[in-house]
Amino acid sequence: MKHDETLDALIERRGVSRRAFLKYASYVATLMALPPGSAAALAEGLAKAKRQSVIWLSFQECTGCTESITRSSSPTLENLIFNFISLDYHHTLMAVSGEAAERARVEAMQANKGKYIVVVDGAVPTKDGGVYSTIAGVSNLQMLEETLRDAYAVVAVGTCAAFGGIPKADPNPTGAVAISELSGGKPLINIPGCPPIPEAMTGVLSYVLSFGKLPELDHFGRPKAFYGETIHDRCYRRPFYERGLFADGFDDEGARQGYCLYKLGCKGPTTYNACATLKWNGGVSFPIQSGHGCLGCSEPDFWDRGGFYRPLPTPLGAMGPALAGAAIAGAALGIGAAVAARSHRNGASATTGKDKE
Amino acid sequence: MDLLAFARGPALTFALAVFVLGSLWRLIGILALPPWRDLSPAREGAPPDWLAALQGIFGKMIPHKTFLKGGMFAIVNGYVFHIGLAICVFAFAPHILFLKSLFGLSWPGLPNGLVFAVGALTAGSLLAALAYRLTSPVLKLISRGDDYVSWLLTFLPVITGLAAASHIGARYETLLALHVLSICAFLIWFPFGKLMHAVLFVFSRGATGIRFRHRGAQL
Amino acid sequence: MTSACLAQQAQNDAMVDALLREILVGLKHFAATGDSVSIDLGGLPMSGRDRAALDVFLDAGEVRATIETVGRSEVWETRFSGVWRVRHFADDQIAVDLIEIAACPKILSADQRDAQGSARRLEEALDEKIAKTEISHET
Repeated sequence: MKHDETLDALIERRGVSRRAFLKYASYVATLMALPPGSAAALAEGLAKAKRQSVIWLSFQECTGCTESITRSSSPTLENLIFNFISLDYHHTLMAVSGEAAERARVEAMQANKGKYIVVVDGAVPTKDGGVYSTIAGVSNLQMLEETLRDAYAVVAVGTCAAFGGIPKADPNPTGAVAISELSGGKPLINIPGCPPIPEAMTGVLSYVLSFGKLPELDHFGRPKAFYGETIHDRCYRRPFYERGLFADGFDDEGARQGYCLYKLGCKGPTTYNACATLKWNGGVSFPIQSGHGCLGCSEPDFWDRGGFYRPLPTPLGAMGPALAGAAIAGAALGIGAAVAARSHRNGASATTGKDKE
Repeated sequence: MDLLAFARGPALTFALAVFVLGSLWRLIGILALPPWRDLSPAREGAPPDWLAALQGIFGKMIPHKTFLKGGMFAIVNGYVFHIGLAICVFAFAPHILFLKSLFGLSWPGLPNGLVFAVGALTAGSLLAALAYRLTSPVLKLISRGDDYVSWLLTFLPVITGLAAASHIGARYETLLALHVLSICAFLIWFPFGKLMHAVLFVFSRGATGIRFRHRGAQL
Repeated sequence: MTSACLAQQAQNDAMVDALLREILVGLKHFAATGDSVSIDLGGLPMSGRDRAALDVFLDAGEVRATIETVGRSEVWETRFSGVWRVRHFADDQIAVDLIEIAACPKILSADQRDAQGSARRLEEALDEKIAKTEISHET
């Protein structure tokens, strides 16, 4: 499981020319909006790279992230990444292998000490010693710690791994935390989304492989190439927003006309992801194109932001009781003030009255 | 909890509660005072009180020509930013959504570009108002801290709103949060400072109208 | 055509016109220095109509090639010599759309290191062929 062969030797052995690198590199350069001409450098980097050992850990998750990456639409171009990486351990895909799979993980860690990349999908429960999720009798917490020790970098795939996601949603019964809280200073890339766009996952891995460094990240550790702009900024329905044309319901005339979904709770303006440009299923569509507002799934705590259908500019939480209480208190104070003023005046006139007498 | 969630949640709830409490306190405190009674008979031809009140409220909206000459700038500029503020607050689609969530009422908005232009004009007009206040000797003399605080808390929502709409200065969610927080500050200050004139002017001008007309003064 | 349509049309043309101007700058640069230029259409906010308008304007020139490696690619020279279109497909969808201003797009030319490998393979194949012929002559 040691990977000494360079990728161009591997490609040549499979009877494919170096054009494959150039083509794949153009694809990644387009995806990540790299400057023109970097495709050639990317291709060279890929050709000289060795097969990257990847260990994929699955914790508190729904397998949607794995589904997303393994079902990426094109059987050729996008999936070329699977020739460039060696998926030495994937918890979900290898579950049936039992002990043998766990052995493969340990072997890969030993053979590629300091060089392997750990991909994690799912949050990690920390409450009660992490008993709420275990694999082969080992808690997620323990397994992550052990696997990260000699890792080169860690990639938190999906919102659960990146930000805690649904397991961390209020009231967070298992004490779930994001990988960033447990990565102990290892280089970390967050690729959130529920699930993340497969191209974002493959693009980032290819970038690391070719250039031997992490891509530029934002303050949430997300690669700027995919999370640099909001859905709203790149949305094809944006002109309707600017012109004040909105759908008021999912089946009204505005919805049929394809107007902006802002009033229906679309979180596009505060959500950073590439759905509006890369789209899903090989560029077929994305939620807004299919008539539903953005849920904001690539943002922290998207599950707890007051409901998917609550428009962005509306207040969060129930303020009725607070306002009712304030109104009663305000009215009482006002009446109190008026009564005090009246008694003061009456007192004053009484005094003047007395003086007259 | 991030800044935007804090602004939209606890901060806004607190600010609105203070706004409601303070406004009712002040308003009821004034309206529940014993009614002012003028025992003298009304002058001949004096209109009924309700009409006198309306004349007071609306008649004063156009200043007497004596004041037009020297105060033209302050009058026109005052109209510009007051109308500008009203358009920004009540004709911008996201604001209508906010108001709808509070009152359940909704109305059509104006295109964003138009509202943005009005907002920019309003910001310029507010700056001009401040410059006028600082340069006019009389106005400067009678200005107190309240005037400057009220000006700042009106200006901040406008400028943060413009920044949020044009994505200038920071990320949109940060700008939006700052915009909401600036409105929170505005709401908290509103009942306790001169901003309350937005509500009280109706009563003060109405009362003035009634008294003046009762005594036969023209408005 | 309504005024809104005309406005939309003008906006579309603006996008394509800007792009064509960029191509012209690149082409002049290539003509003067021989340095190739690459423009990635993927990052540009182009509608399907913009792309079609660009296709119509640039049209096709003398060369057209198809590459079959990890999926299909199409390469053709436009009616302006030195301006090439390179399009990589994934699942019949355009995955990469490039304009390359060069003598020949890099993806078309064979890599020297690939040539080293193929020279070896050719030699082996030739040896095998000769060996086969000799065997058939002996029998």
